[in-house]
Amino acid sequence: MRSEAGTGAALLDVYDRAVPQVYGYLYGRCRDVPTAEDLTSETLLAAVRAGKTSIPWMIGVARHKLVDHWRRRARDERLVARIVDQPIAMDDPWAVRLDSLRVADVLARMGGHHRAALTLRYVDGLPVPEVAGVLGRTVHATEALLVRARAAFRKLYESGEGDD
Amino acid sequence: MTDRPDPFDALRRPVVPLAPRPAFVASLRRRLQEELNMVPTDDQTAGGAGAAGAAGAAQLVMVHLRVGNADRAMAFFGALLDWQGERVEFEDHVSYYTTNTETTVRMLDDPGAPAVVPNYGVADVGAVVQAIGAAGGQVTQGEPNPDGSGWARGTDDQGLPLLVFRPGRHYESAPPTREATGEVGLVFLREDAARAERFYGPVLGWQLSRSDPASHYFDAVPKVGIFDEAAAFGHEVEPDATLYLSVDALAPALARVEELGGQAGPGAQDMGPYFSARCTDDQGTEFGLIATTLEGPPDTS
Repeated sequence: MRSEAGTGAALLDVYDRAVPQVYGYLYGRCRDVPTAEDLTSETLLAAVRAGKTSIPWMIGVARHKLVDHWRRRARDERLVARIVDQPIAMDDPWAVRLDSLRVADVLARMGGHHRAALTLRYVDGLPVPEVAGVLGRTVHATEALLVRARAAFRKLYESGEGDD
Repeated sequence: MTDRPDPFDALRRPVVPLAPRPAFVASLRRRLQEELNMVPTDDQTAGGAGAAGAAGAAQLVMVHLRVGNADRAMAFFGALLDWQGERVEFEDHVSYYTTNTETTVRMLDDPGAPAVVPNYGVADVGAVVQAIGAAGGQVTQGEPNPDGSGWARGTDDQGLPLLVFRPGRHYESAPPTREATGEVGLVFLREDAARAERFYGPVLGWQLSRSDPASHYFDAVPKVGIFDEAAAFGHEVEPDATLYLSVDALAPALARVEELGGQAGPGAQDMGPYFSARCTDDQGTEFGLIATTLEGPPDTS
């Protein structure tokens, strides 16, 4: 393995420092230790094989792998049809101050496509065209997905409030 | 439509570094070494719990926690976290060393001891003793041996206590009979981060990192973080160390603290990748709890 970073030991040192960053990104979004560990391994191995040492590059790879994971899970759970069949809800203004302590739990209960869209758009703060790029959708389709995802999030969030 | 802020903006989360399980890090490191055509060595596991992390950096292997009565403390934390421990009497003091946690916790009833003392595994105690002095710290007690083994305790250059020793097979405790439900999650050091980097860099090989250039929280090594509160809030802060214990879910653990006669803190804080709360046990010993979820594992159905 050759790279600008030099020897294997120097590379390993770089990857040692990258692991908490990549794992922190993944776990902060999926809240599942096995998933975060699997995707961290895949990301770091991809970096080694590509000779990449940039942490932002690794975070980008981790983001794609997380979306792929959610996409597979959505497919496995046969959520795709449900999502596609749902009518586009009105994206009416929602005057609420979200309780940040509950946000992660609500996101964790969402289907893969909705969770991926909301995570990329709001948790990561990506603009809609970049969300579309990661999801492999058109901007218009992504906007529609975000409308549905917001509505689904709101429904879950509000139903949770009633349970308290 | 509306000029009110979008509530979804509250979902924004920066990338916050998080130390994975040491066993996972060690396993991943071996795979990376294989990919890099390096021969995996055992030096990453020679330091006991310090298996993972930056090569050469001293890792956290034990934490001393000052308690009121050690027997009561063992009963409290045993009931709270399923800890098991071994009772040791030495120089008029009673200690319990946990035997079923990955990072050992020593609960010590010495009122003259610091509240929390992180213990780091090092390869050469004598060299570290010299480095502590050269970096402005103090060594107050120790037994460094010529072969690098031994131990030493003291303070860093800001007065925070630390203890270093070379891990080894000094003593075989009775095997545990149950799994702990709570672990050492984080030793949270509040002190000047720039000074800490100048001290711990040459002494323990640490290189501090942070996820955001604007952040005042720095990761040192797994389970050790430094928060520069003075820089964050612009007021004087007395350096101190707090032991945070990690649990599966925060709310049930806080309820259990109260059931056992302790006090749960004023409320859970969302720290990004985890939630945290300050607590005291039934004798007033301060500690913190951290968890990745509030109520329990997320429902993935």
